[in-house]
Amino acid sequence: MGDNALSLRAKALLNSLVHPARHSSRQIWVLLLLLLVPVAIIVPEFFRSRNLANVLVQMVPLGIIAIGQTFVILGAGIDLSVGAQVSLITLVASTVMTDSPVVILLTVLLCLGLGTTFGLLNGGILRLFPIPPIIATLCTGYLFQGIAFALHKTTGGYISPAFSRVLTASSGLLSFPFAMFILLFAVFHMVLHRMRLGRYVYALGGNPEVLANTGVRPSGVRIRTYVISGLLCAVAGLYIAARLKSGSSHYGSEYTLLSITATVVGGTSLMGGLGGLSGTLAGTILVSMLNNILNNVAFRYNLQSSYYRSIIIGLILLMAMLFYRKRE
Amino acid sequence: MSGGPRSPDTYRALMILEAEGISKQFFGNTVLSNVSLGLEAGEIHAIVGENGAGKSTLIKIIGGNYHADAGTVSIDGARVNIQSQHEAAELGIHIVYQEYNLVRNMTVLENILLGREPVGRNRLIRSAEARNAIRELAERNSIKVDLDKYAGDLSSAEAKLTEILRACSHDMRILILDEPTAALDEDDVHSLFELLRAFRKRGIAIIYISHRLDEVFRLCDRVTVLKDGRLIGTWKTKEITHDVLIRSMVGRELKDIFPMKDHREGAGRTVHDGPALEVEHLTDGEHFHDISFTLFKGEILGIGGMSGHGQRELIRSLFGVHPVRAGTIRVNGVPATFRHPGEAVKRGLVFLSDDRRNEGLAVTQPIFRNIIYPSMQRRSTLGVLNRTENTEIVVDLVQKLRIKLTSIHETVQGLSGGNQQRVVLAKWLPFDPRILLFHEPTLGIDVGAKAEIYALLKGFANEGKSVLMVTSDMLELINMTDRIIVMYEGAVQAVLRSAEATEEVVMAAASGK
Repeated sequence: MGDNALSLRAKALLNSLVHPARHSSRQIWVLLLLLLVPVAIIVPEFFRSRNLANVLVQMVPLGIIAIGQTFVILGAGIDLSVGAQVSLITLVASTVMTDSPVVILLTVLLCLGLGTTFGLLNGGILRLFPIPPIIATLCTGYLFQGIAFALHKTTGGYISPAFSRVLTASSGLLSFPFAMFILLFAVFHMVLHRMRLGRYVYALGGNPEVLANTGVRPSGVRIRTYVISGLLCAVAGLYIAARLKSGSSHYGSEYTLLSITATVVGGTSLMGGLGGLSGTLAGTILVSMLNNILNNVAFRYNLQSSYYRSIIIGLILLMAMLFYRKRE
Repeated sequence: MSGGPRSPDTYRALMILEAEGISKQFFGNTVLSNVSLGLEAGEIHAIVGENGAGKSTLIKIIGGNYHADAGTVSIDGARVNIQSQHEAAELGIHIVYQEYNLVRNMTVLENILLGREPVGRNRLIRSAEARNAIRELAERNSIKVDLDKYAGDLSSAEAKLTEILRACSHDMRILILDEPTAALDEDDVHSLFELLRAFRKRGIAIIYISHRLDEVFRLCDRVTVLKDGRLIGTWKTKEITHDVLIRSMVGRELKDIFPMKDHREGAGRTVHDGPALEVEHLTDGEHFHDISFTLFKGEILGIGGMSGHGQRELIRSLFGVHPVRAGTIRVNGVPATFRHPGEAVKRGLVFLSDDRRNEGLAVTQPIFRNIIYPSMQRRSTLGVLNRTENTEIVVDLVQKLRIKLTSIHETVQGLSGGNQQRVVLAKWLPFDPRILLFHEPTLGIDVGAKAEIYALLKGFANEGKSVLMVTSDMLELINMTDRIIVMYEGAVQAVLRSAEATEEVVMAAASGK
């Protein structure tokens, strides 16, 4: 009897692993925890508090951008322009900023306004023209990147040390950027799961026609997802500029594909409507953790870590797709 | 409804909805021409007619999805100009379409509330409150559906109920149902009817579109017949018979639709011709088990039963689409295990899916390509299609099957259901199939075109080919076949000779008796 109940439970557990529920991100979290065991054995230095603090800070820009990407992808869109948006923001910030607090404030507002504009542009194009989001944002991505190149050919500009100090302040495991990320995550988690916009985003990804029939304009919801993405790119761009004390047309490049990776590995379906932010958080941690571990290992053996990083991230993405395939 | 004759004036006073002189053209084709419909509060009003008669267009105009080119719609005597489904809903008009109209990845509750989630001052959705309200509403209407289930996991019946519950949650005055029972089994149909009768008692007006005329007589108070976009008439169901209704719809009677009756004695002959397909103890481990039967040459064998009792999986497994766990299949006495459809086609089997638009056709592609796809490899030199030869073959097939088209290069999506089904047939004929597997051969095909499909099936049988068809259409099952297998819970419940089968006997077997 007891054995039977136990085996039933084991079966149910196994089943839940093979057939994940629609919004559940339990699997990815379990995977993440399981991964910590071999990590502890192979790379014990990962768990040193200094390194952990590092990981927590390093994941911030990716985490922030991936929140926006998740909104867009849940709505059956995609934003290929996030990298260029981030780069452009770092450039604008480092070009405009001075040491005056008023100018710093204006710079921040300008950047947030720009991020909103990027989102309005992406979403507006999709409302006006019948083109797929992947193409529309590819185009705007080139556009933003081109402006970034024109603005500044090399890394440079000026970021106020005070601004930089505040945005990168930390003590032990606690840090301003990480706190900011957690706050943003909490707010957008609330928006996604407890506010109307969140429901509409899921409906947009699932069946926009039904949404339209209730009197809600799907293209309006779509614009809002891109605006969220643009705003968060601006926040991430400001933080990156503060951390690197400069702006550059390539600072954001890697985030386009990494944010999609973190979102998809976290269980959000590229078809839209399935997944959520909790998974994206796990995906972000997974990607950042691997990055850090590979750097550690590469340092130990004097290897070029970026090669291996690409290979491993590719493999993880492939495994995630196979893992989630059953659900759809 | 209170019976007895009423003067035209009292009728008028009770009209909740009036559509007058509605006309609509699509790309120059007249779909509706001067059609009028009056709906009383507290009546169930059927609209019947062949596919293409204009039923769907009419309700889409009433429901705000289309705009009429001419004519007026009035509610309670006041003219309205409905611009969208949303506006219709605000006027109390709700449509449950034939197609699925829910967001699959959201729960039942989320679907019902979509677009008008109650929010507090902090703009957060007040979930608990909304859930209680909807749960109470469901209980009051005896609608049993799990509010937390994802819409994508609902059965057809639950999905319909969810849509009706969604309509109820508004201030519903008019409910329009388009073929609601198409995918429901008898029990679900029964509870749906109970629900609709309860609505009627509360004064809600219901428009009920159905191909199933028995339902019209069972449920509805009045019936309006459309034909080719024109109004034929409106009758009280008590004052019209089945046959008269059919004649007014198509200008034919039941016995003209089925070419079988005179051929019944031929059923014995098939046994002499020997078996074409022998199935023994076939099991897939989940949907059907221990299925054994023989399909003879020149025979039409029907498989019936309520939907979801393994018929779908069985017919798909015969074509190598659905995996089999155990059992044997023999084609012309030679054992066959099909791992994929290609192997089945090589042995002379072809399959016509019930999901014609997704599995039978590439709807965005021209008729020519659709017909040539399966036999493309055979008819090409070094991978290059021989266009002249292929065109001849396609034109031949189009003429043989009498597919109505303007050009073989037009896309399939513009064709009627009957013509689409013929295109699917045409693509298989070059293989000279010996066994034709039909899943719902006339699903979505109007009465007139049905008769022509039946004649084709009969023709195949007369040529010595074998036809196996899974169908939920009772008339078709009884009148088109030589023998009937009734399935229940994945097993063969009864094997009947069609000549002796009646609807009652088939229904009894289908419910496990």
